[in-house]
Amino acid sequence: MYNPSSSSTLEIPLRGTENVLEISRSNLPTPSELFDILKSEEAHLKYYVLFALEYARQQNVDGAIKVLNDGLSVEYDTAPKSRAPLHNLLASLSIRKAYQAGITPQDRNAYWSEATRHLGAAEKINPRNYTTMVSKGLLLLARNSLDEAYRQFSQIPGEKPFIIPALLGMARIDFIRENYSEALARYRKVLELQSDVVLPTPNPRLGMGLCFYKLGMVEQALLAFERCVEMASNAKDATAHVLLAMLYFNKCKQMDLSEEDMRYIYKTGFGHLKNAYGADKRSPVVGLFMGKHFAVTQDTDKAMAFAKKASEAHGLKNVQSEGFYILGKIHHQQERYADACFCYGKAVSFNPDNLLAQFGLGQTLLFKADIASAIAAFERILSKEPTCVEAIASKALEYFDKATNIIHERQTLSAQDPLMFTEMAQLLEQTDINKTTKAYMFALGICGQKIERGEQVEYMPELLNNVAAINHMDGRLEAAEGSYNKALDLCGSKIQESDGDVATEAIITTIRYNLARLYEERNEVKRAEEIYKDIANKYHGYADAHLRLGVIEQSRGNFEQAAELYKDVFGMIDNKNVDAWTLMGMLQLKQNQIKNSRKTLERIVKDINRHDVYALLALGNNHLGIAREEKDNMAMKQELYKKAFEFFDKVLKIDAYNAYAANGIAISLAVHGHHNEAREMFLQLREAASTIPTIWLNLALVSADMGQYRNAVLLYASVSKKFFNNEDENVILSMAKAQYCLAKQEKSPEKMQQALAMAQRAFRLNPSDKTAMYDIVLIQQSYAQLVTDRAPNQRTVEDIHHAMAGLGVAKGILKSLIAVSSKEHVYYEREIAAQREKHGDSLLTILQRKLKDQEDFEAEKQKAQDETRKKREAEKAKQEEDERIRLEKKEEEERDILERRRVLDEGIKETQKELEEMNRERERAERKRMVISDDDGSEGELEGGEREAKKQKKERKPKEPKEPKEPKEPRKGKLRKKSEIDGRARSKSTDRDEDDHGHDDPTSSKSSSKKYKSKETIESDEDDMSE
Amino acid sequence: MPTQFVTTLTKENAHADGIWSAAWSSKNALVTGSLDNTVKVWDAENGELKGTLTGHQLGVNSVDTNVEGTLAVSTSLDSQIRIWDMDQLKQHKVIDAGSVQAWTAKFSPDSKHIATGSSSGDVNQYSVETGEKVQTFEGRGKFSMCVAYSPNGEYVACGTEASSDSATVLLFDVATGKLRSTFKGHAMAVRSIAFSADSTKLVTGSDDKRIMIHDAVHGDTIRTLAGHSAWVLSVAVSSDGVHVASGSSDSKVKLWDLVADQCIDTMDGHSDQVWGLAWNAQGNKFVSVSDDKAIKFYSTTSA
Repeated sequence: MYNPSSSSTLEIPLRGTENVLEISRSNLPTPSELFDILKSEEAHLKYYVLFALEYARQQNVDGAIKVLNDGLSVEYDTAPKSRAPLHNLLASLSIRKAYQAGITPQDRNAYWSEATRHLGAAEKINPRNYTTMVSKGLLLLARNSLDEAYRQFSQIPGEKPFIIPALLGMARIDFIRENYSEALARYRKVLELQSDVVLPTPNPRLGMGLCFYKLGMVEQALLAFERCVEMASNAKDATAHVLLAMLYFNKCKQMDLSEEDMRYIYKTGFGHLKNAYGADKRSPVVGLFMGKHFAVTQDTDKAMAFAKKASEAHGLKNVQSEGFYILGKIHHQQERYADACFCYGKAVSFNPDNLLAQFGLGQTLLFKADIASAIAAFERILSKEPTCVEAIASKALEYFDKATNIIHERQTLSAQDPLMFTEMAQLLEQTDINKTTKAYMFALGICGQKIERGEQVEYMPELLNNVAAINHMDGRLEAAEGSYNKALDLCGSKIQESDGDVATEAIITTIRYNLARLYEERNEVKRAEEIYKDIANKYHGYADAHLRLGVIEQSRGNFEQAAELYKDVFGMIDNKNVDAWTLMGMLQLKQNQIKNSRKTLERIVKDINRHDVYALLALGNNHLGIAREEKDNMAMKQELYKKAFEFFDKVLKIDAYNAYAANGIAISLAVHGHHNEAREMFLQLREAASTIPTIWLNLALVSADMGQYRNAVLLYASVSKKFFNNEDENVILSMAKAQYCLAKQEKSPEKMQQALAMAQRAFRLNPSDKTAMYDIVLIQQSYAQLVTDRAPNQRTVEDIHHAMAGLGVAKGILKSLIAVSSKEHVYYEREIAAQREKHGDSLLTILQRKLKDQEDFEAEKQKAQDETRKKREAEKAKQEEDERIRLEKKEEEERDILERRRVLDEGIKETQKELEEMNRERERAERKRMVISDDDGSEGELEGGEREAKKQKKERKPKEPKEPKEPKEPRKGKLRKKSEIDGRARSKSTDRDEDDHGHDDPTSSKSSSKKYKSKETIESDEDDMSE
Repeated sequence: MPTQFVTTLTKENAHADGIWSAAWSSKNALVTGSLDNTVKVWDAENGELKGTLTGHQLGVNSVDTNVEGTLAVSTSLDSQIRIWDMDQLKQHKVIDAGSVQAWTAKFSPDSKHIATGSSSGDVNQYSVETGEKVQTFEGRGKFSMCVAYSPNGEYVACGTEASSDSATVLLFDVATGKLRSTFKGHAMAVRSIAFSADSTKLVTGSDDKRIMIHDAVHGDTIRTLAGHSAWVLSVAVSSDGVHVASGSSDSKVKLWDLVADQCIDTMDGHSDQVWGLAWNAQGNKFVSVSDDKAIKFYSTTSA
């Protein structure tokens, strides 16, 4: 009998001798070589079987088939009895070949016919050969003829070894028929029967594991597979490994795992997957999981490659479907909708039960605007798995909306079904309240019509309640109250009709609870309280009513009662009520029991839900708070910050868009000195989540930390107004603090006064708050300090008086602050307050001296100013006198000139007259002479002379209008002189300014500030304003 | 048809900083107190500034005038009570109450006393003449944020910061000095309080955004007015007892009709918290003052 582990060699008896040819198992010849040997030695057919088995063991099935076919072809041994095992083995191998991955249907059919042929041959030889019968059963099984296969297997008598494959086959049929416990029993039987066989193939434990898994016994399944892996340690069992990987991956999806556990489990799973891959690189299932893994790790190329291979695993429809699904998903993620749609379609065609693929198909079809097909896809999901829809609904919602429109447009029958709209509204509730309301209203409308028609509408109160709840959440309280009451009325009449209806009672309770919440919101606490109490009495298990009562007590400051009520809930009603534990934790925080609060919140994360975002955030903030308070132990402080960071990080892993967590992380960045990064992050957050005031506040805080006080003040101011109606004293105090720092930075008493106004606002909002009072003191003293430090010419006596008065007020406040009973918790150190008082006194003394100086200075300044003024007046007078004289002189000169000109003009006129006279006489004489003689030359001379005279006249004429300009010229000169005087006066005044500057000499101001430097250091030591 | 009120005058930047309180004297003088440390007196007819009274070292928290309109009282965060001569516009008297011992102050109807709320929760009564503390109405330990005398002089009422049993409105009997009634209902601090002219109703405004009308005689709460979206900082009742004006940190002024029991108007002219309101003696005009430094005058359309 073939026993592969018996020896390392196989023997072929040599013809005619006692000798044998030893062939090493590890070094088998090729099938053709082997055939040559076997043929020449005329070896018995059983040796062909032996070698075929060995080839098959070494995964060389084709080799095995060849050897067997060769064996059947030899002519030296044609005894049917010897040939039967070869036929049987060939049939088995063909069946195995048909199971092969990646095989085409044609090839598979070919193998099956081959198997059928060999089985027929074997059957002819011996119809009662059990091996043949088993193989026949297996073939029927492979061809999915379950009933016939089952009949075949059951014909095999209960003896080894044939019963084992029969049992395995039957177990498989049971498994396919989902009779898992029967299948399990058969696998167990196999295990018992096989206990003495060293390596049963296939390992029944695999089947057992699968049964366990199907029966929900995951741990047992895990054990079974692990045992398989152990047993096959030398030859890796890909199937067991891949099953293990799958189990581990599934385990990761459980909610109650810690981060590390989850990572560890995934790693284990992936380890198995790698082993499986190592054992069988061609296994499509392994490839599929590899693809899934790389899809998770976003290694798209690898994922695509594996998924593609899986999608080509012909014959394994589920694997192909999954492979196409992964491909579709990757395309989908990368927004190649057409490709994605194609892949999803393929996935669905291979396996219509692949709901995720159906869903993807629906989504992508919508992108292709093929609404009708999309709706069909969604409907298929709904029909298959109505509950599953809820799990994936959040993604489906937006498409449902589109679907409604379609349905609405087409006025199909389903539009008359209010339930559909109700369900849709419920789905929409998580995402889009407006559309939800629309859907509900639609449903209500239909119900209304139905009622009008006299039809009964069972769920009208629920519908009303839901509509009311939406109005309630949206703040339309009146409308909500109306609907709640209407719903209650309907329930009331229902109860009368059929009393004691449990379902109706439950609805009434819910509606009343909602109504109480509404009253609470409207501050009608009493009314709310009565309802809660009534509900809590009637239905002790209604945890929410107890919790609300607790919240009411807490708001009244009755922390003890509140704590009792919360404890009732998690102590008596539901130990895993997250709300109760959360409220308790927050209450403890409020009572300053920080450690207890932390423990309570940790309990939620540890015992109830490690993904509870609220608890995680609260814990992060809690650590942040303690870290802030920690002043001495810096290592501890860092550790606390780190822990806080971890909590926020966890939240971000669960909800990547959680602005509160991102905010926390930015805070951690800030406290580690990464101010720029933190600021950047806050800025982004502010963009993304502008409705969360803490982000603005943190942005302001970081700005202040970075010394950008002006920015910080602006941010605080806007956040205070935008979110808090300027009602939050702490925000305003923070603003005051930033303004205070700004004033110190710029050494500006004016800015310090603004800080004082801010602190006063805060104080007025909450006069019981000693912190604001303390800050007022601090600002008053800093103001005094700033006034003291200022150069005399930059302050006034009034400023000093003001500062002194402020110090007086500060002293009064300090006295009262120091006197506050030591029992009361205050945010300032009483000793420091006492030191402050002394500091104020010394400031006052200095200011008194400064006041004297300032008065002197101002008197002197006044004097100097007076003198300058006098001087300037004298100068001005002199100037005016000069001007007057000059003007007089000028006028005289002008008169002179005019006179002279007049005289001159007269002279000219005279001369002209004379000339004219002369000319006339000459003409007369000429005329006489002309009669006597014609003397051209003399006449020309004369004419020329006349012309010249005329010319002269002409030339002088244009000069005349210029004449008035002449007197202006001297005036111009005067103007110039005047400006010179001005220039001098100006330089005088600059002199005066320079004098002033003399007082403002930077060295002198430096020396004065130096003078109080020692004081300043005292000041700055404890200058931080209490927070 | 309810009476209509219109804004007749707005004095922008009436003070250098936010205005925190206002009082309208019987002589038609408007007194305002501000964070800028000053008290200003205005002609309530035309809004002209008559004088600026200085002396307080910190913001002026409350102002009031006596019935005759001859004196004004102011309290400041500097803990001083200052009494001013309204005719000569100068300081008449200073009372140093001690740190946070005089938060807000009101004249008694006979003008002889001044009542102030204190951090201990007690309401202290000072003599105008001597400046001495003459009587203490014992509160319940919660900071007394606002006080009011009933016009008939029988009661003194005060509103306090939030308390665990929500008994934030206390009514004292002046004659006996005893606590007469407590009104529970406001969930948060009560920052303003006012009596109706007939002394029967007590109006309170609270951080819980609501206004409550209490029966001063029988000691029960008659109704609640809700409508502001933020703290109610100021309330004032008209002399005819028909209207209540309220100011809030939602920057709005609301006018309520006590007869019709509803809000008849909402004025949103201010851009910041409305801290003070004051009616004239006839009840046909009122002013509002706000942290936005503005004074707004309102008048009935018939006035």
